[in-house]
Amino acid sequence: MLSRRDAVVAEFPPRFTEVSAEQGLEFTFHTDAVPERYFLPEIMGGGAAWFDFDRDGWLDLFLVNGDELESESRRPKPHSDALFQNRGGESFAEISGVAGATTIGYGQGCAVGDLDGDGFEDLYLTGYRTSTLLRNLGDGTFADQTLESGTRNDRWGSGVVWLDINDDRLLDLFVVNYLNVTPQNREQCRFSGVPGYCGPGHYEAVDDRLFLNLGDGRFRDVSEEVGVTIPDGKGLGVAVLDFDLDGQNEIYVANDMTPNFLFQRQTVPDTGTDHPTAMDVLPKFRDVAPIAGCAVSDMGLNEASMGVACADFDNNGYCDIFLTHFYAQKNTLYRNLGGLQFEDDSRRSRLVAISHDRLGFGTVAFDYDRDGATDLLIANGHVLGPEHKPFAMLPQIMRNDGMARFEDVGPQSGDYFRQLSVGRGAAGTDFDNDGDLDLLVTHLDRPVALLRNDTVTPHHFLGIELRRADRIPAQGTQVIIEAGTRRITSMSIGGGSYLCVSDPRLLMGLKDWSEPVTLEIRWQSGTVARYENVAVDRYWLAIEGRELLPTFSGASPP
Amino acid sequence: MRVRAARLLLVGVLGIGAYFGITRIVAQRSLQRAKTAFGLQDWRTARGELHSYLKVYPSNEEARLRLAEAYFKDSALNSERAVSSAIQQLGFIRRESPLWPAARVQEARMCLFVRMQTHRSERLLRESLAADPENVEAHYVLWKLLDLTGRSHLAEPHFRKVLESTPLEKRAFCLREWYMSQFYPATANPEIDRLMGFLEPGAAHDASTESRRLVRFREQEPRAALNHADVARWFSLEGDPKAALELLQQALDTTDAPLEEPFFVATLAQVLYDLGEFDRALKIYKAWPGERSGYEYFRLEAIFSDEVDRNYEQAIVGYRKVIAIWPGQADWRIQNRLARCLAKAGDETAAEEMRSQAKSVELLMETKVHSPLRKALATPDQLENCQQMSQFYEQLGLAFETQHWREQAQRLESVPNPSH
Repeated sequence: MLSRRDAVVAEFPPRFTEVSAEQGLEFTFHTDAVPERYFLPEIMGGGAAWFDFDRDGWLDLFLVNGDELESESRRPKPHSDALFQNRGGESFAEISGVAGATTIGYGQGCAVGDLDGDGFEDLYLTGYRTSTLLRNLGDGTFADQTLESGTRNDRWGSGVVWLDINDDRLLDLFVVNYLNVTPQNREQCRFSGVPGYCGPGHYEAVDDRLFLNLGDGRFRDVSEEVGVTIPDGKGLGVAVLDFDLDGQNEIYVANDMTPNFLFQRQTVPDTGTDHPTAMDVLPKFRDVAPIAGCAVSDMGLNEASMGVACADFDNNGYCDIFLTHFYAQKNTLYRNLGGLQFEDDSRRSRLVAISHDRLGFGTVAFDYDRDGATDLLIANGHVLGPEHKPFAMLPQIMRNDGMARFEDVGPQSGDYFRQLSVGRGAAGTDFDNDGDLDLLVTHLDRPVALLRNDTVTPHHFLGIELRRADRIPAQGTQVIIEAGTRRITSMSIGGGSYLCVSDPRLLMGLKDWSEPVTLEIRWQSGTVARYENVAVDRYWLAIEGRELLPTFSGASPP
Repeated sequence: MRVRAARLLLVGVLGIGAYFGITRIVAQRSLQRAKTAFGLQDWRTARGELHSYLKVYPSNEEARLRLAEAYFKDSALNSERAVSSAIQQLGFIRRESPLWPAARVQEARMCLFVRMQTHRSERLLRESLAADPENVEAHYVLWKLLDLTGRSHLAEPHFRKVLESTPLEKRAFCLREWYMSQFYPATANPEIDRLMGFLEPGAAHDASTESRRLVRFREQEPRAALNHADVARWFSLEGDPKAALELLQQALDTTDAPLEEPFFVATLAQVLYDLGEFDRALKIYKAWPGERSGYEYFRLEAIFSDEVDRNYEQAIVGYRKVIAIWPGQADWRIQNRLARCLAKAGDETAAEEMRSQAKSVELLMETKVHSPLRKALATPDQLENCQQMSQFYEQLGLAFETQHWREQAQRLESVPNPSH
């Protein structure tokens, strides 16, 4: 009656080749780990951001670095952050020194957004009791504007995302904070008699912060006023998107061993004035995660949420939530039922079966073989310390069978996936603009890995770069492709993964459909744009209110 | 000649009569001496005397029972030899004998504590209880066996029988054992673990004690499906359903009638469900052997209604059944599932109530709640400790335990304080 499930052999096995060295990407995150200190920040890793800082059409890479954790002096750090310029997909050149793109303090996460609307994307970096706003001056250099902008966050910041919370066409900033850990209150824990890092249960949470863009280069901390200071949020990951397709984005915060948050924007009060200021139209946010069913597991357990990936895994038109969790816990898939209702579908999706022996951090939702089903990358690695086994772990590629049921096909995916490592951040990017998503993983125990997607597949794709008329990121914009009788949906998402920023373009797999498709774009403004006969196997630039513009053609499938 | 023959016959008859008479007297004296030896715990003498007695009265089943005991209790004997000899003696006790249930319990104890044959022991205990449902010793040993095998959640009826027959002034100790069984089953019986060699004298339980115990039980009876299920359940609770499934799949081929054991079926269905193999899980569950009731059965029924069938109304009914059966009252995870189904069925008020109840129960499971309780249980026969326990159980909504701890408190209140 019972038989063992056959070993998973994907029809088009994923093939990823590590090309960091050959592309000139050499960078190792400085953890500042001191033996027997067990100071928690040193085990959390650092992030990375893919963005086109010089607007040449090729995604560049910013890598966040650590620093001496117990140093109080605000001096240039010996292990600087790194900006790598993408030279036409052929190689990367480090230009950090020239560009002035480095920060002070122990870095963690990053966010990309054009805060001043000049067309050049700026950076915000979180860190351990530090933060930096790096304004892209458009001339190949950056300027630190943290203090004058009023965006300094002296807490332990982790995830961060730019978004427009009040529709004033100015980018605001949501910073996720983690724990109140200091050199003075740090603890050492013992696990089976062996010392290690204490987890979040040993430290107090610190509130998240929301900085409102006042439009003159200054920001104001409105966290209390808008209602995002929920007690006991030990946040790491964050994602911004429109889960219920009502035209307004929600903010999802992945909290470590405390209930996750789903901030829903409430109605903006009518001020009665003709020219309301940003403060007048300040919305309120309410955490609806408990009633939406995505705060805790199906059994009411707080889970150790680290990374988050949102995508329509089951092709029902709504974005689901995937969360990476602790060792011997399941990773969780909250399936979006519509109407802002979720259910923990981790068993049906078979994630329980393939996640209990890993501890996941960064995660990327992507379709590695363009079969129209969104797969997952997970960077794994433990947190107790190198004395504890397992510490290093195998990363995973989870193949989606199209019905949101996953199998780990990592072992077939290339050498990198057969090597143990202590993975942390993960970001997706089509750095060579060939129409498939490549991957970047940051680690504690080895340099970053750039993994070129060399999967051989006959499947086709469509790439879309979305640009709103007001230059606000297109978060929450839904894209629907009609390919014959198939409908494939995707959404532009802000944030995601763990401490990282992925390629903002949407890459949608069409399986064996090679004919032109119909493309529908549902902008957050309510505008619905419909384009017929759109050629596939290439990227298109979709600007709200305009015709599609062709960009990169991508590599044709064999 | 005839007279002479008659005299000889008479002498013979008298001689034989005298022989039997003397033999009987000697046998009775042997029995007396055996009883004395029992009192002195002189097991060797007791065995010798009982063997003598049984030569004359081979069908005396009480003597057989005592002889078995004299073997079993003699630490000077090689334990396996002693157990074999004892079980041999118990085998003489007929099924229709009133001593049969006691003999089975005796045998069960030996199988459990010496041979570590939990499966055989459990079978004997259940046979004993089928013949004599009020056999307190059988209930007690079965309760302990369920603790030792990771199935303490099935022990409540046996605890209740034991409690009923425990004198009022001793009940606090029995209630203490039950508390340990409810909340710390893996470490509830350190004395037994020491006796069985799983704990060194003076040592405390560590993380591996329970798993070592379960694995050893399985080694002792590799064909017993239940033993494999116990190990698999341990893996499942440790968050490793894949390892659990592997064990269960092996057991399907190597054990006797695994799918006739409800606990095996429950564990297999649970693990398959955890791994997302819903169709296979349902198939196994639908072939549930024996009585279709109890915590395990209702729990799976509710979960499948909830997650597989998406029939929330039916799941609500199921979850309500589950949380009425121990350990459902303490299972805040199941209560959260019920809350979720209530919300999905549109009853947000009831969902909020259930969420709040689940939260209260969750808080009652925290170490900071149980540490003082365990401290209090060091002296369970003190008034304030009994009051503390009754308050805890009242908060948890367990009326039976609340009432009994309260009774203990009332009893102690009525006892004059010796210090006055």
